[in-house]
Amino acid sequence: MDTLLKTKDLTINFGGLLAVNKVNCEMNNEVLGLIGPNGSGKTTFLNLISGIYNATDGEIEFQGRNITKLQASDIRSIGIARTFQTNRLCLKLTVLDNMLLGLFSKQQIRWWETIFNQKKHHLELRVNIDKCLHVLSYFNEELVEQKYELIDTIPLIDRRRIEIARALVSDPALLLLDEPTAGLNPQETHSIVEDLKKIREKTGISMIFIEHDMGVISTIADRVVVLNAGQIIAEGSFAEVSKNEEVRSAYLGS
Amino acid sequence: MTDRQTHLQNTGKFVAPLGVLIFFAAMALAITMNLWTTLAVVVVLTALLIFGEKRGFVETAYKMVEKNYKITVAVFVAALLLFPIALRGNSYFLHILVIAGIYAMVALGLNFQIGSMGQVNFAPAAMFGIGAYTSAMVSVHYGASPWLGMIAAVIVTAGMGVVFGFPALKTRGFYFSLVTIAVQTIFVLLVVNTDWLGGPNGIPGIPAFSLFGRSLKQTGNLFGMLLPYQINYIYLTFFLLILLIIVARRLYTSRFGLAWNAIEEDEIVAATQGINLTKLKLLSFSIGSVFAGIAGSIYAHYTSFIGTEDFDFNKSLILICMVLLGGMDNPVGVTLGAVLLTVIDEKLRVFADYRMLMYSVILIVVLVVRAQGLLPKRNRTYPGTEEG
Amino acid sequence: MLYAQIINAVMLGCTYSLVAIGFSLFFGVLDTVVFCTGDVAIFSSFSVVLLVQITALYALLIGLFNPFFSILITVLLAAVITAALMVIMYQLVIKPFENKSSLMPLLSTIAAGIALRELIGIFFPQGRNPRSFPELLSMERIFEALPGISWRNGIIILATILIVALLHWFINKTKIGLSIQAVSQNREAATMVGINRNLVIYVTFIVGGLILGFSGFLIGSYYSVIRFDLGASFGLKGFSAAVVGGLGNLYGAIVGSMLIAFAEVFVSAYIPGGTAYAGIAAFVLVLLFILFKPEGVLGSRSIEKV
Repeated sequence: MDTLLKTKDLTINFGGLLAVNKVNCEMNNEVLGLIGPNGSGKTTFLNLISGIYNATDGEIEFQGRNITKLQASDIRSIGIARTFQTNRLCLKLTVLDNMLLGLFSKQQIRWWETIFNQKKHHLELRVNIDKCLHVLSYFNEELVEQKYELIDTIPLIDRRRIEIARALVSDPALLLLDEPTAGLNPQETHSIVEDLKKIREKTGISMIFIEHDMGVISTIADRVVVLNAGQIIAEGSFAEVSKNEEVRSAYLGS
Repeated sequence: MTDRQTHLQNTGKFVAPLGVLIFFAAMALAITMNLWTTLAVVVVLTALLIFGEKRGFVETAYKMVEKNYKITVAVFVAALLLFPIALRGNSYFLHILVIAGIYAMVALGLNFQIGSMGQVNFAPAAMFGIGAYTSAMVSVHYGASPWLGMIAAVIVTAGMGVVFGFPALKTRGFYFSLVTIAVQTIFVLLVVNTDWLGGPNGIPGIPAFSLFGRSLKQTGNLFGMLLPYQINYIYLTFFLLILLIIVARRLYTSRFGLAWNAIEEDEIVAATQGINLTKLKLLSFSIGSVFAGIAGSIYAHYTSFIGTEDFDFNKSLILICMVLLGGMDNPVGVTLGAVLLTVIDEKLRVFADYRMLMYSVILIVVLVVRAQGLLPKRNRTYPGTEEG
Repeated sequence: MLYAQIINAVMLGCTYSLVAIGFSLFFGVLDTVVFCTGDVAIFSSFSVVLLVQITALYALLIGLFNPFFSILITVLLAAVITAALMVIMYQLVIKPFENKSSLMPLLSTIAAGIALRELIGIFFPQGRNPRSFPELLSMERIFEALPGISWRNGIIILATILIVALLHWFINKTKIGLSIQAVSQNREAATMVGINRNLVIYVTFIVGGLILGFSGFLIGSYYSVIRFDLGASFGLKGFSAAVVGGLGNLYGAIVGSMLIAFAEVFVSAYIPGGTAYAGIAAFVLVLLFILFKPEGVLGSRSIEKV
């Protein structure tokens, strides 16, 4: 049970384009940095793991269980949560409602119980709201005050935080982060990275981290995997990878 | 507690019930007077809402009602009970109320798809019809009690909701709408061409509901006042409608209502939050269909005659208008929209040729001017679950 | 028997296909289904009735030119009126909802279709009664040996082919046609290479309006009796045909129309009591396609962008 996530010859074929091509990857409890040039298949790799795409070939194993064929919703329920590169929160919902969505899979109440058993509904809701606010306050105390504000009115940095909080609120074992710092200035980037580091220390959660900023990768990633044209071209510590000739020519451009 | 809140609480005790009474007076005016009065009431109401929203009065009104929930509801229920008695002199006005209540139920069911999930279902009238036909067939052909007919209607529409929901799972947007249009058209064509279901002649002679051995079609007598039989149906309809509003509100505030909203905005995000799209969509469909089925059953046993013209595509469109005009994803708004449009529709009977033109113009105007409807959806707040 | 049914089906398919092409054209540039398309086509039929029977324009023309030119001028005029209507429709019920939830143009165009149909019913003289369509095309057989192919039928088929050929040329050979294709395939990229999207949309609506204008004449000629609410069923059949063929694909629209027409004709001809179920057959076909092959016969499935 040491291996948290394992992919075996993972492949997806988009009408002839092998966006991810026979990727064999293993990770334990660690922070894995996923880097590579644009179009190298990083996001597709996350989409495969999180069940948005179905693999053409190959297998994904999570905690010893084959999850290749599972739907996105089931994958969230068994403990893999993710964020999106373009920050996909529900804009027409409030901060708190977005957070509660993250807890959807952890809620037990059935639909008829929400109609006929209001007591249970309120009880569960109360616990959930406390949990959501607790996670939010961890990132930014102000967000707790803004819980009834629409996402529309929230600045980008806080939206990033809310999206990560929404993923964390269901206590996943693995967090997939798709460029959580895209579009942020250096200070904001620093603050998000510090938050993530603290969470890692506190909860021991594993992460796969797609990032373009090598500074960020070098500070947070225990190990780095480099993708190019859908294939892993190198893996190892950041120091090792950054010395690799193939990586330098494909990606670092020096 | 701030001064303002205390103030609200004190004045609200009188203002909120007063508002309820004024609302009922306006509705009485709209129902009993001519078309122009009805339209004037709608215009004044709209103006008040739009103006009130800008100045924050609407928010204050909501707060007042929330703070004085019990007394407001008590006054509302009392007014609702007395309202038909006050109108007892003219059974046509009472008839309008019954029909309004029935359409409100269907519109509430439709709201689960349009309002909550943002998927335009063009077949609510078909579901309404399936409920009506099931209930009618059970009581006419098999001689069963109309109540059994209603139960049968609930079961059949729930099943049909799942059956018709399945194509909807694979599609969204335009394709989904085309599927529902197809379902609506197939329903009408099938019924018209099936002799067993009365074909183009419809089903006449559907028995009325009876309660404690008394038919609801009997006129009543209260302290010497003659009560037309429609009053029985008004109470039945209002009772069920209020139950359905409560169900709709509870679902709205539950994780399911939230999940539907998430599906509307972004299915992929919804799925990655652990929301099973299949289950949630089917749930929205079957519950909505059951609402329509209950309404259809009441309709059949109230009018005692049903035919396909009551359940055609135009009826579906009118129901969509009701949801949009009232306010998507706001059960109270949807009910208001259904009542207003039913009243206007009845007043327009003289100008039958202009009815559909009016609906289409209303639809376009609402979409352009106020897409959120008269009573827009409110952000969920969870009072009583906060600290302090 | 079979021969006659095939002719019937082809004729029906022709009347559907121009409407279906309209749906596909508009969907291509807007990513929105313009539901009033069928009603606009029927509006054009009524325009022809107006020009021929009410304003007596046709009588005037026939005094000046030979019948062929008179018909051509009348139909062209009707098509121009229809194109103008289509542009007005775009301004009123589609443009306000750009970049908003897709259910809004869906509802507004359906409402616009109903409004159009009701306006014809209310304001056209005797609008709610079935109206006989002027018999401009001769019902005589072209070849004595071939029954079923009258001048009318032959001209309808030829006109459909001609319009499709013209459209093919326009889309593939002219600059603006190529721009329409570019916008259909990738809106952002098209804007980036400097294509004026607004212009493309207007041109598409004018071209689509013209095509619907011609289709109104063909539909009227084929049915010889038209009704104000015919647009509803034509809209549905046209949209269904476009979906079956692959929404956004012009040639798919033709294939879809033929499939639906053949399904309808053959169900009503060969299934006992089938006439009543012919309408259902078309919708069942659409349901099957949506469920099992949503990209249609000729459409290509696109990967949903994440």
